[in-house]
Amino acid sequence: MRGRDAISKTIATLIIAVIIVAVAGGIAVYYATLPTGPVVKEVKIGLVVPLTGPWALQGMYKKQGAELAIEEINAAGGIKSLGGAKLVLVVTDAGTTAESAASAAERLITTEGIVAGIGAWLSSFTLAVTEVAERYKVPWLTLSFADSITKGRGFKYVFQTSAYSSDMAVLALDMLLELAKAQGVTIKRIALVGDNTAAIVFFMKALRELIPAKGLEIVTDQVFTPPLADATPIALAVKAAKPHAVFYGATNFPDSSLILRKFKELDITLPIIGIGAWLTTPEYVAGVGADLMEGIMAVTGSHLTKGWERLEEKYVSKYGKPFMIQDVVSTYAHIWIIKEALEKAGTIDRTVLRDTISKIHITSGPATILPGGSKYGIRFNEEGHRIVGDRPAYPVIVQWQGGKSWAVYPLEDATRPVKWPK
Amino acid sequence: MKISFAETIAKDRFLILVIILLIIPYVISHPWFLRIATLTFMWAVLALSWNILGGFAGQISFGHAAFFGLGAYTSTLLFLYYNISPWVGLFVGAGVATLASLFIGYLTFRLRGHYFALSMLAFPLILLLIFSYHPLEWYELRFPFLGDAPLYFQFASRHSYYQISLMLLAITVYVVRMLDRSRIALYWRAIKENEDAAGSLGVNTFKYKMIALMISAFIAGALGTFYVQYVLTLDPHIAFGLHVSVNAVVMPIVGGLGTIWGPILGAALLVPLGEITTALWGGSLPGLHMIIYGIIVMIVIAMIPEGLYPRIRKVVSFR
Amino acid sequence: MADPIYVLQSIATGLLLGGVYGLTALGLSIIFGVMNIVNFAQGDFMMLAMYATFFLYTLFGVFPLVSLLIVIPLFFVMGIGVQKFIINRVIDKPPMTHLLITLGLSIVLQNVALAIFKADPRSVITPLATTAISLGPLYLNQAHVVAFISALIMTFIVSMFLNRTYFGKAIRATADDREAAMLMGINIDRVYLVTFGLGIALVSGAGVLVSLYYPISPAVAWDFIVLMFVAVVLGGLGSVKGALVGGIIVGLVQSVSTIWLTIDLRNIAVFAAFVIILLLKPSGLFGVKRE
Repeated sequence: MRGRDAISKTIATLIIAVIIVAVAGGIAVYYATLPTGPVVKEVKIGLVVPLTGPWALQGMYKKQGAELAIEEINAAGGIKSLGGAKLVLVVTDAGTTAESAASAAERLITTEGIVAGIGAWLSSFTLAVTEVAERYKVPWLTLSFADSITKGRGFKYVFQTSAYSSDMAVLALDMLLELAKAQGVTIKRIALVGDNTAAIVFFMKALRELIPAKGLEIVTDQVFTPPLADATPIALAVKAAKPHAVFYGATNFPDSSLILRKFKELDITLPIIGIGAWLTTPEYVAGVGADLMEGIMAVTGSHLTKGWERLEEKYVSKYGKPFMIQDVVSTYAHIWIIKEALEKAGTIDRTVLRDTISKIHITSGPATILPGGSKYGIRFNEEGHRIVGDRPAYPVIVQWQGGKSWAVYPLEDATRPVKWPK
Repeated sequence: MKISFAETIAKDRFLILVIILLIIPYVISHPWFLRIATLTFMWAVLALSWNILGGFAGQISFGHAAFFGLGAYTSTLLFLYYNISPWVGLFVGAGVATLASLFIGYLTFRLRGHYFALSMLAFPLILLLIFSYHPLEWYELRFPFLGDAPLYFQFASRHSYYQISLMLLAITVYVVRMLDRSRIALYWRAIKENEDAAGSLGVNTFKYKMIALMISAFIAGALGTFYVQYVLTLDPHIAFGLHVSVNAVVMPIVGGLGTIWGPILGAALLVPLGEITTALWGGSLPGLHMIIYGIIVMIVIAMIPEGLYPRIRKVVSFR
Repeated sequence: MADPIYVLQSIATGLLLGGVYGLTALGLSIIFGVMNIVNFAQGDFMMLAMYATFFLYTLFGVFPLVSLLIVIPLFFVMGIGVQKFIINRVIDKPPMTHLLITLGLSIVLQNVALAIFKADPRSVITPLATTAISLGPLYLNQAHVVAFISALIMTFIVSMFLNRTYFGKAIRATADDREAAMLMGINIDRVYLVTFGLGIALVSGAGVLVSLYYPISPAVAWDFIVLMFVAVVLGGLGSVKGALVGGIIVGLVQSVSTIWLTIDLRNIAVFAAFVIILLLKPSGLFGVKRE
């Protein structure tokens, strides 16, 4: 009898020991795999873009870019450091005035609890919206390229990923001269045609200083107030001035297309470099005609560049638009930047998130689609402006060839070589 | 006499309303609510100022943005270039707007009806173009973010802006009420009824129209500064855009032209309506929220063409 | 810049463009003059006509000038409908009520177009827009010339209608003095229906022609509405001739002022001319009645 009792006791002890170890082990494993910080199921990102009014198309493109990124991120498991929390896009119409844009931002921040925001395309809307973001200390990203958004502004929560308009001018001019030299063509006389909206004014202002500094001549300087109604005086002035190249900027599609059509009508065939998101869109081909667009170049904040073709295929099959442009690309990158920052921060605390974005250095992943990103990574300076290496962010120059806009400069990002316009 | 009795009741009611409005933020302090309320107060002030010229004196003008914008730009430029506090700039701006109104009125008062209304449209448009002239570099002004700097009209909390704009509204209402009870109002009414008859009875119609315009411009100019200090960006469209002039006309009409509560009710309907339709539908099918907004506006005015306040009064007095 | 060729070209362009402005203003003027209505939605009807032109052209291959024959009658009927079911409700109401109705209508039309057609700008691509007729050293854009000639023709037709037909005279009588017209047995309701229908039909015609050279988008009304109103008031509310002349003046001033003013300021000249002309003629150049 005693033998069996002894064995039962041993077995009982063993069983109890196993249970204790198992429970202890289970508890230990459970705590080890708990997500850090509060349990978050979804992370809201706000998008304030024009969905009505003259820039509704731009808003739509931005929305597409954001949706594309969010789909990818959620399909891959969301934000891992937040326990697989999914990203949720909260989109709202910025409306047609700066007031409505700012109201939209304030609403998203205070009622939707967005963790970060993006928007609002038009630089005057962006200024109003970023003021709200700064006030509420919500990290905000924008693709607007007016200098005034971060340069000398002293804001902490605003991050501007595109090149400054004034820097775009530098690169555009350099590129033009470099290409011309390669072709054996002399550029001495330059025409400037632009509207008086902020982004374009900064660009032209910089050119007005750069061009004489390089020993070149501005032969005509046309500034117009939108809407243009008719481009005849501008085109006549350009024709009469006999320039070797034209720098050209318009924020509204009708103005933009009127000028190009008028150039064609008056037989003005010159190298044209433009600024303004319209100039790279598929709508141009539909509106102005592929033959008219051939050879025209545009400076833009971002574009589909070498190595990212698969992304474009995905975009094209989802949205039916023939190619990817700045508004889509930049917003796509913005979402990915926020995602990387969230992963790193492991929290949805907006101040921590802001600090993370400020110090971040993203060296791989979709966020690096922005110009210079693959080589130098994505980083921001203390003003919130994106820097590439030790230089401020630079733009992409795009050229229309065969009815589509291709990245042509900087050369390492080019998807096609530049063709000097006939 | 019946009029002043109704007004006496209204007086008590407005005071009560102000007190209630002052208390509300302590109960409901949601920032978005405060924002809508603040904007409503501000647009109500603009509507009230327009109503002096349009509702009392019967001169419909589509150019009110001129005064609003001049006030906004004056104080902003004084601040950005000379570091003068917007509190001071407020009065300078209102003064500039008033001077401009003197000039504008002198030119346009010989016109009547639609001609007057639309000629007034030219002025904010001219100003918009001038201020967009790129060498001036006024096409996009931004303010330094001062956080909490009451002396420079910047406040850390939304609540402060709410209180200030409410005070501005209250002051405007009392000024308007005072005007409404004055003898000038009688002349305005006569001019509104039939300008020619009033003139032939010996009323100096030009003088009284000018007085209405100048007061109207002064208030609008002052409001311009308040508004810009709230939104903290300024460009020619914010200052002189068509939507400003349209709001100035539309709100009093919806609320009841020529009454004191009318412009306030008009603003109280339209501003939140815009915000709420955007909030509910602004992210879905593009344009949907605007369609709903437009339809509601059309239905309201078709059903209540005399204006909200007159209808409310009618309904209440039948009780 | 004061080179004589440039001046001549400016005058030519201004004239042609002005004709188009005048055309867009014709309908507005009639509605104004007869019904006393400020139609904020006028530009949006033009926008709808532009879309109609676009779809007729790209889906059915109907050349824009031909589509005039389809669009104008269609929009005439549409105008009658809008008047009967919407405008008529506020026609006798306190002043300015119609402002809100037409404003609300404008917002609705623009955003319905946005919802249905999306924000992508469309263009009617024909060679007309990018070819010019060379008249000596002058360039006359073909689309502008076509629009200008059509504007003259339409003005003439409407003028004939208003002056030579019974109904046209009834409309003018109503514009002059509504009470008297009623007493004369004129059916005011019917006058209003036809007037509004006519106003919308005219602006739809303008839309067809403008779409020959101007890109189409839901918000395109904004690019035209201000100058439309200026042309109408300048020429005198209710005067068909006045609308055309007003438009031409706007076009000329806009164009010629670039000789002295930079382009971004040229509309200042237009608005200044507007105010000056009104000061000299408070009812507009051919103002039918003094308000």
